[in-house]
Amino acid sequence: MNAEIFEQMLRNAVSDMKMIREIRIRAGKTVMIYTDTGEKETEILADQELIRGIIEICSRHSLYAYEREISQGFLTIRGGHRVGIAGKAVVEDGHVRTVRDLSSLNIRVAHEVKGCAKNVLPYLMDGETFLDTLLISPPGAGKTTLLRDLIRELSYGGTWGAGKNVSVVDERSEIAACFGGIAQCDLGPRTDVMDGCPKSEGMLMMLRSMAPQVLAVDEAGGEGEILAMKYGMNCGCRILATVHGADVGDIMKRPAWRELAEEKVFSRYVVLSGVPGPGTIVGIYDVNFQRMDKRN
Amino acid sequence: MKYLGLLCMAAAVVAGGFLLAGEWEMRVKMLGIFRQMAVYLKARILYSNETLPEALKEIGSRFSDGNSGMAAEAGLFFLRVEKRMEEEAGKPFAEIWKEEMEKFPDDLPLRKQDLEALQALGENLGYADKKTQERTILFYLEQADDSLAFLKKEMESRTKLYRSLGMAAGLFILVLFA
Repeated sequence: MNAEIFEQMLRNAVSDMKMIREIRIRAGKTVMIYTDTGEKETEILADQELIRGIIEICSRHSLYAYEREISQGFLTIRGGHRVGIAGKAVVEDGHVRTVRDLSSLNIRVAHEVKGCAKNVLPYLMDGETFLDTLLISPPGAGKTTLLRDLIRELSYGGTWGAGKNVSVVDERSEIAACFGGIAQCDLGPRTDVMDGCPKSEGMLMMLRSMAPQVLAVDEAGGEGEILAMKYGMNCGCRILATVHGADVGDIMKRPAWRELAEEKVFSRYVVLSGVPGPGTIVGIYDVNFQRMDKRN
Repeated sequence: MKYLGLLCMAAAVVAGGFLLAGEWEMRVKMLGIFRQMAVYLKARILYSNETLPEALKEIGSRFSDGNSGMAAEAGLFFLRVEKRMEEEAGKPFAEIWKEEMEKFPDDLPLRKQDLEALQALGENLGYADKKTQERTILFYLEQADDSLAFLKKEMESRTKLYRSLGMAAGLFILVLFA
């Protein structure tokens, strides 16, 4: 099956393509679609030709340009959508060089939900000052969507104060979904984006070059990234970061994050869940892990 | 009247010689443009990590704006390929490249071997990793360099020959029929 036939069959299977959140394609299996209302099994039987065709389209006939991403198991396409891949890993010197014989794709559709940060932002402010904040969420629970909207709100400004200069390090092109250097998502008028740059290096570059008031980064966690965040805080810059985890206790199991929590590096923690739907706020916690959003 | 006709015939033959010489020069120029575009393509892929459509658009615009007439054809070719890649995302790149090559004007001053080398470039671009892209482009550059070296070596003598033959033939007509 080729990609054009697949697209047509997909249109027939789903009444509103905008409802799609995730498409899972496995060679030899039927294609599964996930929408806001749940899982739907289609009648489309996927094969490797289809997977190859989709990857060709996603990479715009330029697989070489996605070498680094593919070695990490995904590629981000125009619009900020993430295509996860699985297949036969080619390992060299202990590192995955590429993935061949692709057998599965997981297309995660990026969503821009303007206004979803409105109820969260008041808890993250101290007067006009934005507080260092960590968003904690399992995969697919809307962490990047919330991060994107927080950046937009901070950049535009609002009743809580004037807009701030925000620098975004968008290693996987998911936050701003830059295409040809232009952000496809609305991140506000005071936002600068370093696209496709490794996070630790990008954060230091932005601190040096753009003098941000707020520095935003998605899926932080590496040693270099944590050091760069600390460096940014010491420079007077506020940090807005996300990390994978089910709850606060989950990240406390990781030594580097536990150390950050004990040092009271972050002033606010926002925990998200995918249940009952993506973007569900489980709780907002202060520096001492006291829940804040139930006080009112 | 007879002399006027003879003069016209002689002039036409002389012009033919100059035309042939001009065609030779134009082939060198066109090959040089394609070669230069391939050099830029290599830089865009290896240094800027651009995808093929991004690189083709950038280079195509640069070379179609900076040249006119037949010389702009190479840049326009890149732009046509890029446009079709956007419009027909599911179509293999090599097919688009080949189909757009078939749209070159009939009087494009490139020979069969020049076009074959260009087609081979399109057949292998976009495939596999960056090193393969580099090797593919370097192979094309090697072929273009060989052709250019031959053409440049021959150009002076050939253009002189064509022009001289044209003039000699014109004089011959005048002497013979006057």
